[in-house]
Amino acid sequence: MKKIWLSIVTVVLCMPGWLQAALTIEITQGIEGAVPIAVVPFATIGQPAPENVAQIIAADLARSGRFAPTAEQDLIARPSEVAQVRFQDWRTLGVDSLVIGKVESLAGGQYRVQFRVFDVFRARQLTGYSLPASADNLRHVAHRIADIIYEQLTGEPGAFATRIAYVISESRNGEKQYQLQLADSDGYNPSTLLTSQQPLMSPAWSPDGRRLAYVSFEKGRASIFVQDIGTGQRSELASFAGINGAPSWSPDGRSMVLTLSRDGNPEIYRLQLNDKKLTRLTRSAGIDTEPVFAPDGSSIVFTSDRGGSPQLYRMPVAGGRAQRVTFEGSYNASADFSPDGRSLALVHGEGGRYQIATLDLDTRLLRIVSDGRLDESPSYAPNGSMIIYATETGRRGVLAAVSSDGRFRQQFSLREGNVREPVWSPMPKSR
Amino acid sequence: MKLVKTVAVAMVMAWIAGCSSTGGTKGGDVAVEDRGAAEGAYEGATTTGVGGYGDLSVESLSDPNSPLSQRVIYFAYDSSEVAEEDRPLVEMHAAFLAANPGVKVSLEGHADERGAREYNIGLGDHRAQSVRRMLELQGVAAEQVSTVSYGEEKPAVEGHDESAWAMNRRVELVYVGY
Amino acid sequence: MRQHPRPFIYALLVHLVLLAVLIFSLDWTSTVKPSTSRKHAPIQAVAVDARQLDAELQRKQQLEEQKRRAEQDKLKRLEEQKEAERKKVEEQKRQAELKRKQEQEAKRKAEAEKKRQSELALKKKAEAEKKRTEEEARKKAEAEKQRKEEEARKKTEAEKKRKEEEARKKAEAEQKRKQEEARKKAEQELQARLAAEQAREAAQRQSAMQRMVDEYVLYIQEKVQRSWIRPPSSGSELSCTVEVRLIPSGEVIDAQIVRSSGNPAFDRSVEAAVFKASPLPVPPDPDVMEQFRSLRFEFKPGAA
Repeated sequence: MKKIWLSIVTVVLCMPGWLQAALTIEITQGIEGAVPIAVVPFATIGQPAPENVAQIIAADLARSGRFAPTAEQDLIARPSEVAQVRFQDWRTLGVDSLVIGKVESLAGGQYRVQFRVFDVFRARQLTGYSLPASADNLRHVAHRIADIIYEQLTGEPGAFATRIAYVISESRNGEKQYQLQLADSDGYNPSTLLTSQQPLMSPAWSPDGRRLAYVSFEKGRASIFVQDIGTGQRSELASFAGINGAPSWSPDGRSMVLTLSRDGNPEIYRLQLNDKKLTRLTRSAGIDTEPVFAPDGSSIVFTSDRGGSPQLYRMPVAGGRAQRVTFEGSYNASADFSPDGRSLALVHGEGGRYQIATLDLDTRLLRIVSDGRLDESPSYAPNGSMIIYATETGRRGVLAAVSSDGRFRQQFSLREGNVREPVWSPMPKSR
Repeated sequence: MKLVKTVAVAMVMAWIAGCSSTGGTKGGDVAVEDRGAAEGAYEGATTTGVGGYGDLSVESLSDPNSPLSQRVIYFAYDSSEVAEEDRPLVEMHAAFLAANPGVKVSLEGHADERGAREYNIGLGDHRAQSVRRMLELQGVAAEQVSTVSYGEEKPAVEGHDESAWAMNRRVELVYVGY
Repeated sequence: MRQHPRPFIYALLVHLVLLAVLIFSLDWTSTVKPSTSRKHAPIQAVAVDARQLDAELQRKQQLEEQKRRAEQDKLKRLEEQKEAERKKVEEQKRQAELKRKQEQEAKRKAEAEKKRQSELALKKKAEAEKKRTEEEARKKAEAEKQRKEEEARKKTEAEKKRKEEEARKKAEAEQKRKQEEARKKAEQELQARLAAEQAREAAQRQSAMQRMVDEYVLYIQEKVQRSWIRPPSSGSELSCTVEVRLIPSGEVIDAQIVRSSGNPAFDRSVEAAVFKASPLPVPPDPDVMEQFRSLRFEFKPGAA
């Protein structure tokens, strides 16, 4: 009897593991990097599709800087059905998520694209869709799938199924030719809106994504036009004496701010679109230009050298006192607001180099995010995750995109000619 | 008061005399035209003329040897101030324009490729305005002068170094129709 | 109204008449009528002359007055009677009391005399007795004294012997006890030394275990931090707690978010971190490993 009691007592005393609270470990830092993801080439059912959907998706995810898709040659298997997936293998590969899919050709040049996204650790599906497509919108469908995956895994909306506009200039037979073009956010599928023998500048998207305003020298001097993207119809918005430049739309689409020198000096004006009423907003002897609206429509940021060198200033939309917002470096210009209104992307010149930087308007922290010598024209993606800008490689102007924290950069080698002044479209309203 | 008047007249006379006796330092042509009624007729008008600007007829515009063939003024980085050494050139063009009130000139302002494009449009404009002010001060009528800025969009020299940039920071005097 | 004045006036008149009729026909008094009391017997009404009534009244009043006075006299007389009676009774009582008191006094005196006499007789007796007993006592005491002396002598001798014996025994016992004590002490010391050593060993083991725990906590922390790809847009105010179960090899077999950060991308990155860090470095000592079977990670990037 005694022995039994003894053993019971001993056992009880040896159970501290059960009775103690679990050991707690604090994790206070991680690493910066892109999340590994495997995007398996989609299986083809029927006729092969004209586009490699998985490749478009992987390239989009990589360009955002948030994901590191496994190189195709390193994929350990090519499943296209959930039954074919052995999660243990993917865990060994070290990826967090897995994307598989199929592209099925249907009658009449139509396709059906199916995809699924899996959490590799928990071996369960996170999302999956089936989308219809045609041969000429297959790229767009692939971008939409990339948006869905991006939003599922990061919690933020994706901006891959969006467009960019830019100016491209080429020399043909000693003559310069300028074009205003639209393309997908990855630079593919270009279409030309306007061709001119004289310079084109400063394209600006309307908030509904249906029109572009731009500066054209086709009359021998600068004029601002607004062109409907769908119909190609355009109207002249401003053609005053002197400069007509830097058009920018208000968030409600009802007015614009622009630069005019009709009173003798480049100043900022606000133009109401319905009645063409013009209000002058700046009155300095210096150059005041490049005005942009804040996303909440309450203020304007612009470039001015009233202090001696170009810096960024902020003023209420109704006009009034302008407050300087950039204090680092001798050259700060070309501001673009982030969609949440809390940061600016800008051109920052220092030590003979011109680079893209972001300025946090709350903390005043300036961070350089590009590394060229003559970078210009930054434009935020409509989800705030990336910034597109113009840079030069060798002798050509090309476009590049950088994640908004500066971690991941990529150049687009699009086509011949000098590409510049990219602007990213707003989010499509259908979402 | 009488003393001041006398002195003033004397000074003017001396100045006129001095003018008529200076040689043409810039001019090349011998034939010279009267500067115009505004200055009044004076004795001793020589073929070297006023300030030595040479021929100010419209034909000299197409003469490659005429000093008027120099039609570009250059600027320092981020500056729209006409340099001292360029003033005489501007003055000469001013003289020409003043002598030929029917001639119009377009001042085209430019900037080098560095920095923001629209800001460079503003720089080009400031440079053109600088030259315009100087012309108007020299007596050129406002209707004769128009300005336009091309910013960095029409470089004279394609290149990505200071030698190219220096050649692009300029104002060009474009005589309309010539 | 202006166009047809006559009909209007007629109409007005009719209305006024109707109104008057209405007013006067209505009973404006309260509809509640006071009810007659049913308690009294019906009253016989008789015609009376006012003056006669007065004389009658006066006569009545006089009669009543006389009655009242007679009554009052009666009462007065009764009262006087009572008073006389009472006084008589009181006198009687007083007399009786007096008599009783006298009798008591006589008794008391007689008793006191008796007592005195008896006391005297007793005294005499007592004296004689006393003398006798004194004599006896003296004799007794003498004999006793002798006896006692003899006893005492004997006692002291016996006592001496006993004490010697006791002392001897005590000494012997003391020696034994000391020996015993020494032995016990030695044993205790041994045990104490053993215990101390055990305790020291246990403490050493404890601190060694603790050191091992700390060491492996560091290893695990490092590995998890290296495996955690932190979402870039996460602010430093996000934090998340995940509970992880390990098997002895250190492999993570389950991870549960017990406190979400509210941001699904952040939560997922935390899960990915612990799974990617698996197998976690765990102590080789199975006792220490027990503490690592269930781990709780608190991801708090802002706390750095």
